[in-house]
Amino acid sequence: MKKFVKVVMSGALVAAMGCTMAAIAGCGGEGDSEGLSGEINITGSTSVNPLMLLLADAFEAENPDVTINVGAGGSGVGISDAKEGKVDFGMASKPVQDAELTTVQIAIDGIALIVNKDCTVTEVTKDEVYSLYVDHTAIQGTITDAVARESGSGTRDAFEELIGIKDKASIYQNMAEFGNQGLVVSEIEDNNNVMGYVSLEALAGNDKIKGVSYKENDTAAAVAPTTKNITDGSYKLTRPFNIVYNTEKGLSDVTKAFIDFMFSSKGQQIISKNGQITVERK
Amino acid sequence: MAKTNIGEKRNFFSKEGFANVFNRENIAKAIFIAFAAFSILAVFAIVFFILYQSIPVFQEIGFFKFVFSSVWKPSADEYGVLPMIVTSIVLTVLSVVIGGVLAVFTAVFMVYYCPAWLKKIYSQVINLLAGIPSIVFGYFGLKLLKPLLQDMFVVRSAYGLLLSTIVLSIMILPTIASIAKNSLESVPMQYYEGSLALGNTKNQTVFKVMLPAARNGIVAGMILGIGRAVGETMAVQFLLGGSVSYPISFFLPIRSLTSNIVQEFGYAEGLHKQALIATGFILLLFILIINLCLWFVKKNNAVAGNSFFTRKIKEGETEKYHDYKKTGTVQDVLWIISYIVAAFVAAMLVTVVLYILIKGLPNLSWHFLFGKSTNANVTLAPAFVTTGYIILISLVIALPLGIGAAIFLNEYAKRGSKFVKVVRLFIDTLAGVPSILFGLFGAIFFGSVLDMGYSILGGSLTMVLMILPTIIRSTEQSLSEVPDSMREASLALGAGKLRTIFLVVLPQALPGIITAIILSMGRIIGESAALIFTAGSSVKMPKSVMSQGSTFAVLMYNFMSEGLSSKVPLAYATGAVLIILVLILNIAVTLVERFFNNKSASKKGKIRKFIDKLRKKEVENAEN
Repeated sequence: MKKFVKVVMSGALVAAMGCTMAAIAGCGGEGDSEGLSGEINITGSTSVNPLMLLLADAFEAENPDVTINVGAGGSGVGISDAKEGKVDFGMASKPVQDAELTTVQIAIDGIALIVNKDCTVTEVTKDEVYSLYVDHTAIQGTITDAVARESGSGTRDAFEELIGIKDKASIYQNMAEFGNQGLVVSEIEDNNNVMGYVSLEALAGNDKIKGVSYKENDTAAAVAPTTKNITDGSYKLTRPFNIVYNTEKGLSDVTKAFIDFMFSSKGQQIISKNGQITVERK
Repeated sequence: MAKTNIGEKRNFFSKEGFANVFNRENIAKAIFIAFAAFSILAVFAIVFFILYQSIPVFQEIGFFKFVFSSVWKPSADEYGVLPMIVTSIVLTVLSVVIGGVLAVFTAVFMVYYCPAWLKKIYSQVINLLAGIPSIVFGYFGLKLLKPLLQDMFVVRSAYGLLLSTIVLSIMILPTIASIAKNSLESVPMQYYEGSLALGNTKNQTVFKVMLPAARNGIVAGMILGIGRAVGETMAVQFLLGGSVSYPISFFLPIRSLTSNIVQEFGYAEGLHKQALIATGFILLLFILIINLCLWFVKKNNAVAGNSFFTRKIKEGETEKYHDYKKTGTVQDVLWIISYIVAAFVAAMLVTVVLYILIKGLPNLSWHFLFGKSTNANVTLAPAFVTTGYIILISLVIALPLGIGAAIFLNEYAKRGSKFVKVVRLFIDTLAGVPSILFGLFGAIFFGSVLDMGYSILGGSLTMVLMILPTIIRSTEQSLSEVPDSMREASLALGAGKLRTIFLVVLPQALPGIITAIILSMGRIIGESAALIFTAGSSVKMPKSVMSQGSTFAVLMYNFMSEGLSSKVPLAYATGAVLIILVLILNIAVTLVERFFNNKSASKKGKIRKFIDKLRKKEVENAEN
């Protein structure tokens, strides 16, 4: 009899767990409404991710029956998931050329060169950045080291392209490479003599790091990494935010509506408010 | 026609007694065998699918070039993993040496020097340390230890070998310490008394007699520690620095096999992705070799018990003990060291827990815990549901599988038969597979081959493989403790074997099964690497088991990886929730123990005793 009680009690425990879960899940349920319904699955670039999250929230607010799952992973994952049809579309923070994929550019993003707030350097030239990354030449005697993102990162691809260090042999010898933006920011926060590169938005609200102004060459004016300077085209370290989907698979109706929403006035507002630059739909 | 059918059926039923019961017994036995064989299947599936996905790399680059080249340049499609292999080995050796030494001192303290009132609390310290998720350790190392080391050694950046070794040593310490503790406790008391009677001091006895006698168990603990260190992923990814270099200095960014995978897998495509899976295959080879070593050690150590000590007690040796009489200054120093180490370990736990709680608790709010989660305003409510789903689904699948396998191993199989040995070998192997490899396998098999994509179901199925060995071992252990007289009595009363198992034997094994459930919950809650690859990282409330979902650990990883200053406090807050969950699970063990205590006549905690016995068995397994 005692054993029976034990079995019943543990059964009750499991049942109680299940009920609690169902109750919590119930809280998150959304009301009924006409119009679009369905699920959109998105993976890809961690740089595009925060923007996509905002867009998804706004779209869901308008269409309560739509669920948008945005998973990070990186541009590579976005591209390969889109190719395999695992997701409705992938996000890539770099130019994509692939026969199987259709690319839609949704915004332009700035790449900020960041240093610790206590670092005395305020502006750098392209050559200085090049020498720092390729030959470990100190910038203005102060910035002695650089950190990078890992290979495959869209931010790294774009940065290498812009500074012209793509395929430079052995530049990553003994240079820290980080699997995500958080580790880059954390390293700069801890160190006065290190430079790194991040997406522009990482500067927002962080008073332990600062973005340095950038000049293409010695004669050009130094331009600070701000949304305004990216919009008017004076800040040169920029890259595209793309979404890609399997051309053969195409887009579901609800996904199509979501992409239309990105280019609607409301979507464009969200994009500029988040610090990216809007583009015309091609 | 219909009538004859019914007639036949009646006929079949009328034979009842024998034919029917006989059939049911046989079917049940077949099912149990199948469940037991499942771990063999699982190991083969993991090896097969990871190898299968790696083959293009080995074909294109060549296995030897892949292993022995030091150039890893995905942009040029050049892949060589030698620096990572070297880093993994150096990191593992250093951590196991440091962690192992600390663990042995801790174990010595726990068994011989710990005051009685502290004993229970101190073993809780070790249990807690074992339960802290690796992502929390990683974040702790990154945010607290790294700046500290930079100031101490005046280096620009403390990423690299030293930082990772420190954290990794602390992480593997509980594994080695608890096994060392159990093997010290299983040294016969006569050795202790005998040594004292010969005039040795207590310290001499502990360090010159008891410790050498427990050597085999300690070695087994070290080997398990090696397995854990080689496979550790999330913590070292935060602390190594990630550059493809050889570990020639303590402060140089480097990259291990595991961190290579987790660092680049997210961004990889094509051959690059396959090269990362091939890195996983190399890691798998390492793990298989370590497991074979353990198996080989067991096999060749045929003399049961303390073979080492029986050799040691030769005449010359005892003379030596006399020489040490009253002059054991070395042992007295070691005795003091064991106090210091024990205090250090406790201080370490308190630091980790307090640091995360102090940083995290102020950021916890009702809304952040239970509010509606949107993409822009993430809360932990979906994590409660996702974690609950994953725990429930994986337990619902793994419990019958594991219990069935344990029933076969303990109730049906002939003890010591070939099949049982093979099954045990594979269960041990499965237990030693690092979570990152489960993640790779889950992503390949459940995600792509079975087309589940990122889903809670895919994540749960991956977790089934991870917790299965724990459940099998735990259940098997408690089944073996049920006295044979109970089975005999049941059979004598006319019950069939199946009825005996389910109504007499299994209920007795309930404490063991509940322990297995709690231990499994702990593993799932702390897991991050495997779930990111299989269950995805969506922050929304999951609608069904086919939705993506993030557990607490995965959410914490996401918060910190975005690098946005607004998300950092959330990472700490999630860490605090993780710590609290681990605390609750530890309390749960104690409560369950008390529950069964009240029900049973035995004075000592059944559950705690059971866990100890389980560990003891691991030691015995390693020794024999």
